[in-house]
Amino acid sequence: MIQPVSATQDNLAISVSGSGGTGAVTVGLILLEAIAKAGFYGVMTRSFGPQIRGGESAVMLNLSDHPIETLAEFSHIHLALDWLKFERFSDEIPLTQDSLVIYDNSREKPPGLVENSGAKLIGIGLQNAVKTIKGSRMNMFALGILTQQIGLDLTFIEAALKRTLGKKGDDVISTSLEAIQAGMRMIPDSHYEKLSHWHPTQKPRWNISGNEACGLGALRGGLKLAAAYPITPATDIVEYLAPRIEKLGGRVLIAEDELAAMNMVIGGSFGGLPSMTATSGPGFSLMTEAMGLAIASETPALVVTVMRGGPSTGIPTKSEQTDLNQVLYGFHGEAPHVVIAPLNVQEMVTISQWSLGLAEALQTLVVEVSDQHLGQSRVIIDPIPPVDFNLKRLRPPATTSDYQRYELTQEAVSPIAWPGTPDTQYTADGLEHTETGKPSSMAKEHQQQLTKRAQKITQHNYGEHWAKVTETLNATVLVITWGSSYEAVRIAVEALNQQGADISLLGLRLLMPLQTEQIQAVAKDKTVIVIEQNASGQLFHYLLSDNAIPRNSQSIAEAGPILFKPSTVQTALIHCLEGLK
Amino acid sequence: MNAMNTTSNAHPHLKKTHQNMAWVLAAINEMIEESIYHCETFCHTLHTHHNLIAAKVFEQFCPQFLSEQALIQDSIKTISLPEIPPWEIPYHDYIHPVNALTHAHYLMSESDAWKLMHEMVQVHSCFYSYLLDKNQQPEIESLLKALRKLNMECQKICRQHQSYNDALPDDLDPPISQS
Amino acid sequence: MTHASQTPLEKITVKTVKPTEYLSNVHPVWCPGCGHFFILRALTKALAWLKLPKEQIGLVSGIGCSSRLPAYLNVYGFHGVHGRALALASGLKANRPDLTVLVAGGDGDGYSIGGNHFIHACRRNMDITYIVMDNEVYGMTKGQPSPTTPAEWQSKLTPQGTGVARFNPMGIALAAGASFIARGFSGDPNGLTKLMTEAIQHKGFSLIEIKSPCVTFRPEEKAWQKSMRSLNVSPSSNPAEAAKSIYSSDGFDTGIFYQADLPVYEPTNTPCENPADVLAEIEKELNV
Ligand SMILES: Cc1ncc(C[n+]2csc(CCOP(=O)(O)OP(=O)(O)O)c2C)c(N)n1
Ligand code: SF4
Ligand SMILES: [Mg+2]
Repeated sequence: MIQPVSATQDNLAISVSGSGGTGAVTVGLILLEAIAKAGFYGVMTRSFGPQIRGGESAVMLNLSDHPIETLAEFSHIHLALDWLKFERFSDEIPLTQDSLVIYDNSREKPPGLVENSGAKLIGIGLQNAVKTIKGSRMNMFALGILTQQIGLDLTFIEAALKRTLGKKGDDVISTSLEAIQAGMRMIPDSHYEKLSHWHPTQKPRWNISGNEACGLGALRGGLKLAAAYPITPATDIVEYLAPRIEKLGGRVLIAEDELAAMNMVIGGSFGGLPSMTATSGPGFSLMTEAMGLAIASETPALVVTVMRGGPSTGIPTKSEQTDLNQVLYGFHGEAPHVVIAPLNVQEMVTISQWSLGLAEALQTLVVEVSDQHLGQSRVIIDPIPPVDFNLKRLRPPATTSDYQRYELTQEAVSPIAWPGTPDTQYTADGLEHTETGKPSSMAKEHQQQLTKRAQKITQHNYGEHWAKVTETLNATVLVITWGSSYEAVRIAVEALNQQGADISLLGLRLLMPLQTEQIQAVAKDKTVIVIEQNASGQLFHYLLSDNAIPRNSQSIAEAGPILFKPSTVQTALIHCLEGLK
Repeated sequence: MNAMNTTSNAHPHLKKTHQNMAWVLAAINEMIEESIYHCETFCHTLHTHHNLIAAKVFEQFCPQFLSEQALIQDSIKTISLPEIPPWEIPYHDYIHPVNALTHAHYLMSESDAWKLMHEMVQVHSCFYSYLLDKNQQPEIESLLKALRKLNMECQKICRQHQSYNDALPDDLDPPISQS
Repeated sequence: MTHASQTPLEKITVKTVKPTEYLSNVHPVWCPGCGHFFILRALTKALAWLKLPKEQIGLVSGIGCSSRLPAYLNVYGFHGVHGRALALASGLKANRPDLTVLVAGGDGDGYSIGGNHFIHACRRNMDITYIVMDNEVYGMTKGQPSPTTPAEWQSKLTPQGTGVARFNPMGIALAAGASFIARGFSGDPNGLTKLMTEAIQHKGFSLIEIKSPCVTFRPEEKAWQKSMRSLNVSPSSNPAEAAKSIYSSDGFDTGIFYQADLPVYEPTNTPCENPADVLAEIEKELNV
């Protein structure tokens, strides 16, 4: 029988928590950047209390000498700037007897759950230390302590500090450095000096969040308009775009609500330029009527939805893969469209560019599905090389007579005119229409046009990007997963295979149109297990309903917001495999 | 006919150039074009609303307006016409053909349609009378007289077709909402 | 015979652009007598007078009898969803400031379901002309009260009347920041054409609130022909004065009530000469 093993990666997990502006997040940001400068990789996630400012917050870093995006199984080192409301983070910061917990002993005592974890506790006088250096902040001492604990060279910290806090001036930098150095002396022996065993890379790397990666991909795709109404956790995408898109000849429009945002996208795109919006479940709900308009009027539009816990306002700050049904079925009428979900932050740049390109080339709605975890994780990755998908709008030939906007063609894509061009005026319409765009309720025209709208999407050759398939020789089991679950599942599957299991893995990116035959081919003669982060098994039922997977397939579906870790996936898989015997 | 109230004070866009042959031609042409346009448009919508009888009246009548226009064309020859701003009204108390058209109805009877036509023809006739009254230039006068003669015939046709006893049929089918 | 037919005698005019050139080959199917017909005619006359190239016009609408307008014109049109035309047009204008952007719709479309967009379009004051064909009723869904319907008007939906005060579109536009506010009347095509040319030429958000009888569901509105006054209002650039004339009007005055030179929202639109270099510069920020 296969036993769960700890993650195969030689990782180092550090978490920092604190309340009200203690600067836990800043510690995380500097540490991540420093680790990157030292030649390593890492991922950082955050968690917040409900307060807008000054609430408790925590950062969780998982570091390694190769690319890593999964959550840590437990924290090797946890540093608590204080213990206020620490229980809030107990799910995200698991502590074990292998954990080292460092805290300020001039304040609250560690809560029971910390003591009960069996972790090694070291209390130090952080508040007193601050008094020794004028103008210093406690979090910089903490940063020094962590630097010492993991054996990181100070030069990397210094460089990261300058980059992160450089805008605050030289005085702040020098005082901070002084505090960091003092911090390094506070606990001289290192407990987790792992870095010396790791192999640093000299390669250039990027420090990027999923939401930034999404924005960058859209910019690469030639985005010219982002119209949006703020919503957590999608706003960062537009905030990333705002100062940058203008340099590329584009613009951001702040809408009065999501109904407006989606219509602005359609209007901007009708004007001939690639346009998108970014939202989350509640905003997506408001946009669906207009999304139907994009589909019916064949106006290219990209909608990025960053899922959070639902329904209703749900859990705005936490992740769940819970809106699959919404993005697939949330429309009235026959509404063929494209749904794409990147599997990790690394591929977010390219997949976002692809999504925008598909909207342009297929003249339809493309929904790119991300979630809070993918969107708000900050990772160190290898730079993403540019690609050219060559996906563009089909324009009518220069001399066009009798232009018909919705002409039936072989590819089912009709040339779309650039407003301003003489002799190709047309009226885009959400009413069913004839080839010329004239409103029509005739059965023949409805059938022709709806077939055309479906065909252009199903006929398109999506190439290799439709999924990431990792086949294992003689596999008897196929695991299918999507989105942010992918990384944890991948590591779990790799670990099980190392122990002799024969599992193939399929990370499904193109959720609509479903590549049923391709999935069937991969699933042939295998037992299929579908893993996803929602309570009802939305992907599982979707695949079953289209006969993409056999009737006897298994579902591992768990509600958020506690996300899969490789070990939890392994345990679930082992359990599932045993049940099958 | 219910005329829009433009007489209470001086209308801001009143035309004052009736002495000018080119202006007179352009103004008349403009008015006739307006009538033709609306005749055609209403003919079509009445067709769409399956009131073929009323539609036919509009269709039949268009040629009358066209022959008025033909007279104008003969007079134009080499004169280049001025562009008259579309908001200018030819004279005080000018009644736009639209006044009559508001009373169109999808179930209108044939005689109602003729009545409407008659009102439009009268718009023309009033304008011709007004110009004749103001204008003693022989060139313009003879054109206006010819136009008025034609117009009288039109009025006669309209009157001939108006009978008293064809009331509006009842609307047996309530309207259907569309969107 | 076609709606846009060229009469054989057309050559006699010297006008370089004729109103009918702006018509498509789709015929309006409004009820005979509907005020919307005359608004369509006035619009084509205004466009012809301004000699705007057809292909330089973007005409956006929502849903309703009035919103059918774009299909009847030979310009770049968008017949969108109910109430959202102004938002769609804002996106179009943001990406394509070179186009003349017009929006058309009804009182239900603009003031009820699209009320929020109306307020914010006024506030943004983008260079857009908004043509509202106000018949004080939902025509297309056969006769329900709209925000501009008088409180006592009885309908199937409101057998006792709405019992709710009317919405004052021009007052709201003024409060929300529109820079051109006018009332017109479909039965005064000449006056209306004047307002349209002024509104299109005005730089900023222009509202033309046009009284347009729905002869089918509000036949009593035909009487407007008797009570409306043609262009009797003189424009003011002072919002306090404009408010006074808007609020003291009995609803039968037409003309420009307010026209002011207010800041126009124009999102940046500087084309990028070297996108590859700029993108490389942006990506450099990510390097560790
Ligand atoms: C979301 C949505 N709700 C309701 C409708 C039904 N609907 C279509 S048009 C209309 C009212 C139109 O009234 P108005 O804008 O005043 O235009 P009119 O027909 O009077 O010119 C309604 C309620 C719809 N099409 N879409
Ligand atoms: S229902 Fe009213 S608004 Fe609609 S076309 Fe008929 S008259 Fe016009
Ligand atoms: Mg209405």
